[in-house]
Amino acid sequence: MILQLNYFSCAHKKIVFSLLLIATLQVGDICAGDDFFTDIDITVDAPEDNSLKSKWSIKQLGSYGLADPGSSFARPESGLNKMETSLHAEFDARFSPVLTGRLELELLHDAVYALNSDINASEDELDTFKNRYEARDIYLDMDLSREWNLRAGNQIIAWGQAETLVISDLIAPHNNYTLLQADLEDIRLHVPALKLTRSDSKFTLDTVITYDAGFNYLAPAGNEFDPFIQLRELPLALRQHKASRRSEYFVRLKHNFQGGDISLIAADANNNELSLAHTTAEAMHFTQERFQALGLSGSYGAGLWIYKAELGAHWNKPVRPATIEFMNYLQGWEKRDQSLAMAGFDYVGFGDATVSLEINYVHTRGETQPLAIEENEVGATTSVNWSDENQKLTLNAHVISLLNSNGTIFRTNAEYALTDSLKLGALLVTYNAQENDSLFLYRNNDAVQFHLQYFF
Amino acid sequence: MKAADPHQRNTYRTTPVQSHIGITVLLCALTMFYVFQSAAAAAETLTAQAIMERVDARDEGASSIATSTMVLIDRKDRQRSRQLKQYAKEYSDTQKYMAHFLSPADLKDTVYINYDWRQSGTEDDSWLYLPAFNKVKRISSEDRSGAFLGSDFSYADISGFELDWYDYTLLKESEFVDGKDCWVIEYQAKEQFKNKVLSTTGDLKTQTWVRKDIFFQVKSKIWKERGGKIKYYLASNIEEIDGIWTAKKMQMITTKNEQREHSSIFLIQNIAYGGEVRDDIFIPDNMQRATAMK
Repeated sequence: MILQLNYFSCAHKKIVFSLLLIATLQVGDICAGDDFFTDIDITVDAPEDNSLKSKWSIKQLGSYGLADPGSSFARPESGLNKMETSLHAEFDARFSPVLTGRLELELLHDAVYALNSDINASEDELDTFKNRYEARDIYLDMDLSREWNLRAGNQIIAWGQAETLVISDLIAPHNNYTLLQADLEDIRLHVPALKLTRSDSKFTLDTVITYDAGFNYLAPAGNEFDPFIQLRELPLALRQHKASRRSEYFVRLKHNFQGGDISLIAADANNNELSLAHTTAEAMHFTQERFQALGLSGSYGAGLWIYKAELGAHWNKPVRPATIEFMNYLQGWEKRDQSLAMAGFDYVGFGDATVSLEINYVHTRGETQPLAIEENEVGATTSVNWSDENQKLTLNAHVISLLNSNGTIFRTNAEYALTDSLKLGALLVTYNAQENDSLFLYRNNDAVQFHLQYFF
Repeated sequence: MKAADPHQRNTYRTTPVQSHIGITVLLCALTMFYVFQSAAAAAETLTAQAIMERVDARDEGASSIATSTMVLIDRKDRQRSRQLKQYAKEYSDTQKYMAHFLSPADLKDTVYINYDWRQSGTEDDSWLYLPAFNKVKRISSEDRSGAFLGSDFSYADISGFELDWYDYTLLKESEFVDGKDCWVIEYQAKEQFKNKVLSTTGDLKTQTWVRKDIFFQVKSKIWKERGGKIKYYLASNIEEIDGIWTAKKMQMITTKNEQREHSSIFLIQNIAYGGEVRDDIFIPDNMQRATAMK
C-alpha cells in the first residue's frame, strides 16, 4: 500500500508525519542492534568426513636458566639450557564402524649443546636429549558391543582426582626430566596396555593389563635435575633396571550419580619410582619394586564448587632412607605400607578464573626415623587458571608445596593464540627450598621459557 | 485498496469530495484490518509468561545430530573457526547434550557433555574432556555466565534457563523481524532469584522477540552485569527440518558503548532429528573415544 500524500488534508498530513516519525524512531531503535549484524561476512569450509585424519604441529622452545645450578651440574652458570624443536604428528583412522586406530609420534631435537658450549653435558645427557623420538598413542580401539570396548596398544590411562600426589593414578609413569618445566599435558607417559571397558549410564568398569610399562623418566647424569646427583661422586656406576615382573594389573569401578561420581581402584603394579635393590662392587642397581594398592576417589559438584577427594592404601612401597642412613641400605630399601589422602576443590566464582586447592597427606606405618620421610607428611597444591572471554589468552599459576615442607615450586605460564594455528607461550618456574629440604639441590634451577607452536 | 490505474489517469480525475471519501474508506479498511487482527489475537490472548512457556515447550526433537561451525570474530575482524558435531537426546528424566570438536587442531577431540535434569532446581551435570590431559573433568554447571568454548554464547545461552526464575512483561504486541510478526517480551529475574541469576548467567535483563507463528525466539538483546556490556542475538535461516523449526544461523554479538567487541556465528551445516543416537555417546568416561563413536 503506497501512501498518496497528495490526497491528504493538512490535518491528516500532520498525523501521518507524526506516525511516520514515531515509526522511524522505533525502527531506528531496533536497527541500532541490527546494524551490528550487517557487516559480518564469513566463509565456511564444508565439514569433512574422512576415514583418515591427521594433525600436525611444530614447536620451537627456548629455555634460559636464571642461575648457576651448582658445581655438580653440567651447566656451570646462568644461560640457555634448552633450544628444542619438536615435530608432532597424529593420525586417526577408521577401519570399520567398530574399529578405529590412532598413531601419534613426536620427534625432538635440542640444539642447546651446539649453542651453549658452556654446558659440559655427559654422554648420558646427550644421548637422552640431543635427538629423541617418542611413540605416543599407537593403538586400536574396538567396539565389542555398545557396552564393551577394547583398546589395545600404547596409550595414556589417567585415573583419580589428585593432580600432584600419586594415589590411584598408578598406571602411567611420569616425565620427570624436569620438575614441572615441561607442559603439564606431557607429564604422564604412554604405556603398552590392554584396556577392556564396560560402561553404561551408571557404571564403568575398566580392566587394564600393561606390559613393560617402564618407570618414571629421570634426568640423566649431570643434568640440572639429575635425581642421583649426590651419588655421582661415588666410585660406583648407577644402573636402572625394569621390573622383573613386566605385567601389571589394574581395575577401576566407577559409579556416576546426579551431581557426582565415585571410583574404586585396585592395583598389583610396579612402582614407577625406582628404588635401590642391591649394590655390587661395581654398581648400585635401582629397579622397580612390586606393590599393591587400593584407592577410592570421587568428585561432587555443588553450585560454583567442585569438591574432590581421594583415599589410598599402598602396601610394600620401598621408601628412601635418610641421607645419614643411606649406606646402611645398600642391599635394598625398606618396604612400608602407606595411607594417602587428598582433599580439594575447584571454584569458579571469580569471573573467568578457576581456583583450585588440594591438600595432600601421607602416613607411613612403622618407625620412620631411619627414613627420608616423616610418619605423617602434608603438602598442598594451589592453582589459578584464567582465560579471557574469548579464550585467546590463558594464564595458569601453580604453587606446589612439597610433602613435609620439602620445598615449594612456583609455576606460572601464559599462552596467547595469535591465530587458530599459531600460539605463543611463556613459562616461569622457580624453586624455593631450605638447606635440609629435598628440593634444596635444585633450588637454583629457576628458568624462564618461551615457545612458538604452529598447528597444521 | 488498489492504487489508481495509470492508464486511466488522463481520463479520471479525483474531486476533493471523492478524495475525502477515498481516504475515509482507506482508514476504515485499515481500522477493520486491525480489528480483525485484534479479534484473532483476542481469540488466543497470551500473557508474556504463557508465550515463554510455549517457547520453552516447543518441540526440539527427541534426538538430534548436527554438524556445525562456530566462527569467532574479534573487533579487528580476525576470524577463528571451530567445527563441531553435536548430539542431543531426550530421556524421561533428563536431556543429554554432547559437543565434540573436530577442528581446529588444538581443540580437536575436546568434548563437552551436559545433563539437563528435568526436575526443577536440580543442577545440571557437566564434564569437559581435554585430550592433552587425557582426563575427564567434572566442571561446574552453575557458572553458565562463562563463554561457551571462547564464543559470545554463554553456557546459559546454549543450555537454556529456568523459566520459574523470571518475571515476564509483554513490551509490544507486534513487531516484525525479517518479515515475521513477533511479540517483544522482556524478562528479569524475580527478586528471590536475582542473586542466583546474576551469579549463574551474569544477565541483568533480556528483551526477546518471539515469532507468533512458531513460538521461536528470533532476536534478543541481553544486558550483562559485567562491564556494562550488551549482547545481541539474531537467529536466521529458520527452516522446518524433520518437523522441527531450526535456526541454521545464529549470531551473538557482544557490544560495549555501542561498539562491537566480539561476535560469534553459529552455523548448522546439517542436522537430522529423530534418528538413532547412541546412549553411550553421553557417558562421560567415553568422551576420550568420541572420535571412534559415530
